[in-house]
Amino acid sequence: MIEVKDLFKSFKDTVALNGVNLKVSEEIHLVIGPNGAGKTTLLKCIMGILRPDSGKIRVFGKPPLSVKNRMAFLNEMRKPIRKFRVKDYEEIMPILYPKWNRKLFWEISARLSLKRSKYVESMSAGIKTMFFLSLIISSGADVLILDEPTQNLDPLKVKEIENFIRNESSGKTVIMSSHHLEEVENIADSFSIIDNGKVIYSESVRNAKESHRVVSQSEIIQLDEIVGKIEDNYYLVKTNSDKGREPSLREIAIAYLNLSKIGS
Amino acid sequence: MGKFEFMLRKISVQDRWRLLLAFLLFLIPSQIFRILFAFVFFARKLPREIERGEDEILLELPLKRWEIFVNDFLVNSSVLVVSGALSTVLLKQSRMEISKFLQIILTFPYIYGLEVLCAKYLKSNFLIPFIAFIIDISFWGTDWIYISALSERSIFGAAISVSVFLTAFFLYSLEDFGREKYDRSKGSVQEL
Repeated sequence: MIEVKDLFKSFKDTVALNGVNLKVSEEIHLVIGPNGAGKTTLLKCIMGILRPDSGKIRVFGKPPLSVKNRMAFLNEMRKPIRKFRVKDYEEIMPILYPKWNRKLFWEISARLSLKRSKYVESMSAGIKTMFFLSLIISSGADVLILDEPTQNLDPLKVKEIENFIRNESSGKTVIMSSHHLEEVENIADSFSIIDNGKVIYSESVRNAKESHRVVSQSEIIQLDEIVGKIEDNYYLVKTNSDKGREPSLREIAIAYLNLSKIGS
Repeated sequence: MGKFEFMLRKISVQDRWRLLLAFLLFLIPSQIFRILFAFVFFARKLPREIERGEDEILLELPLKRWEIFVNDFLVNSSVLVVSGALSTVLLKQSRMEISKFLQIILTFPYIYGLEVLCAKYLKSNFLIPFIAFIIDISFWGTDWIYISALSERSIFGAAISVSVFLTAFFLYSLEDFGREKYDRSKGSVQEL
């Protein structure tokens, strides 16, 4: 369980987080937003890597640093510890994570055909991501923080990684950022759209889809609450009627981000 | 103990050959050489990772800043202490030599602290501390030697050494210790 209240974080002149509020329970929560929106900063604050200027973060009701061994983090760049091989990680993980599951790690390693002597730095982007995900899943951590787990991967690998996250993360709290919205909407339970350091919309995927429709300009009536434009002649509206069609997560994100742009 | 073991394993993987080299070089019973070598040795550990931003990789693991700082220092100091201690035994050194070796140990907190501070604020884990080393020893012919943190001839030297170490420790670990600031009424970023 993660709770973020009025979180502010700035770097010199740049405000990265400008009053973020968020609640994530035992589910897969997706953080969506354009580059520079503050997604990575938010994830790093939750992990206790960055200290917020102000605000409150609670993970299982405690400050992040006091429960760090119940959290595991996948960094955006997939940077490994210098000169570390698969077997080196395998040796250090049980020292750091009390619930480390060696058997699970071996199973996943076998599935990926990972050689124990392989240097992590020399792995391809896809294998490196799978390797780090296998470490994170096997860590036994209750909170998994994944920064762009599908970044720079071909569609097949993206699919493989989504399945992996979905199958292996039951009973855990997963918070992840991703640009591959078409694919990850199938595995996410809820999402938050973040722009200019603020959460502009947060909802469960199901509720968001049920309460919005994509309609053409001619279908809009005065009672409809227009959220924003998606593409030429098509808009996202908040409505309980069944006109138009159900929006995808990508379309909801585009409309809310367009709304945020107009607002700012 | 777990964090110390982690750091020990990390260093043994990353610097296997350098550890052996350190061990052999530290057998040479020359005070200046050993201090110089300690400068080079410590510079390649946490100070280098701070300079390159690689310490963030460690922070992504269940490690706090202060644990990284303390355990990295302890593990690396231990390597040099064991090497130096062995040299005193193997070379059957005099009491005078042993006392000089103890003085060298007292310089470790200063060297490490200085390198961490320079890496964090000046982005120089070795060059600037090395210049400080050269300037320091160039004054050893004067009364400076009695207050130098590198010569450790008096209590002042030890006090400076400990002060630099503690300053580096607190500045590096600040983010672990700062109080959480929460004020709902504020609408903008607050200064700590």
